[in-house]
Amino acid sequence: MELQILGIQLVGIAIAFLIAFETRALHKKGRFKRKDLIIWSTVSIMLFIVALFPLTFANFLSIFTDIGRGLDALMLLGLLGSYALIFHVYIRNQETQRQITDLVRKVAIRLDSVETKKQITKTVKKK
Amino acid sequence: MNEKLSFVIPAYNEEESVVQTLKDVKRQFPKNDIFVVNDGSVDRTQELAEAQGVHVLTHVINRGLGAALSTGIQAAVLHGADLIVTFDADLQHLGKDVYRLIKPIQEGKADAAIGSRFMSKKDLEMMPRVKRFGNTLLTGMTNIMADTTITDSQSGLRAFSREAAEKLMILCDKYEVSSEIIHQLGHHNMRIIEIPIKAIYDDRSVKRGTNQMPWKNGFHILWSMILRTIGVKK
Repeated sequence: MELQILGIQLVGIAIAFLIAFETRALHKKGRFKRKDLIIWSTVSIMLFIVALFPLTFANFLSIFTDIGRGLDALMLLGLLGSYALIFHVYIRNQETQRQITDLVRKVAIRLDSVETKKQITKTVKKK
Repeated sequence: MNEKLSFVIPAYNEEESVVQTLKDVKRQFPKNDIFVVNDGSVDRTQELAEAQGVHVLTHVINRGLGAALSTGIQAAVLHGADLIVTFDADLQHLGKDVYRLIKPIQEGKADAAIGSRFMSKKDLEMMPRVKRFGNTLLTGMTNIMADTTITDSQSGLRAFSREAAEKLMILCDKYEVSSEIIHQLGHHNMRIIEIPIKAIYDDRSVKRGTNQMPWKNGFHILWSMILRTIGVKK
């Protein structure tokens, strides 16, 4: 039982390190702003703490959420948090897609109007 | 014909058919504006369309049928079109059908006209069976959700008055645009009329567009309709 928990703990710690290293690397490359660095570093630190002391955190959650078993509360909260995150990413993705389409459309219409003006100028000059 | 009629032709990698499509349209309507929306094609679609002396609006990256139609309709409205016809670039439609399509709008009897492939049973036999099934299902769902009674919600041959075109706010980028258009026309209480048209399917056209992955595209359109109905998608 203890080994199982240790295994899960190790996975949690590994994910926390992965997030931390990736965040740092992306910030170095200039693809992450300072705000992103702070947010994701905080997430990785929190994940690290929870993975390292799951029972302490679970007990605290059990009291806070009024759910009998602390680990159940932790799982439930993690699951709900993931759903919220997925929904947020979905909405952001939709918005980004819409902005890309708007941009592509504006460029297409602008280029066509420039081309039309050129054609008109050519025709006028010929006359 | 006093109204300014413009054509919107979305095209994605249509080098094999775009010239013939444009020649057919120009033969029937030589003096009208034609807007080809080259939706990020990686073949010679842009070059070939430009050589035909029409407006070519180029999407620098592929954004899908809905995005291309919206670009074309916006450009046509900006150029002062009174009547806008959307026309496929895959040789599926006949230029001569457009006369019958625009007539009710010119006469003030309708705000939008849809070319229906389902009104003539004889011509319908040309449509691949899987496409026929999918179209029937999607049209049924569209009618329920948009409160309309049309027979072919997925037709690419449509005509709009300027007023109807200005009210269209196309937000879907992909194939679900056909249902979205019907949905919006219904929502704005626009008068929709259907005109029987002949659709031509050859070996090439049955391998393109929604025919490429009919089940996947069909489910995607259906899913999009459900999201729009429950308000998650505009």
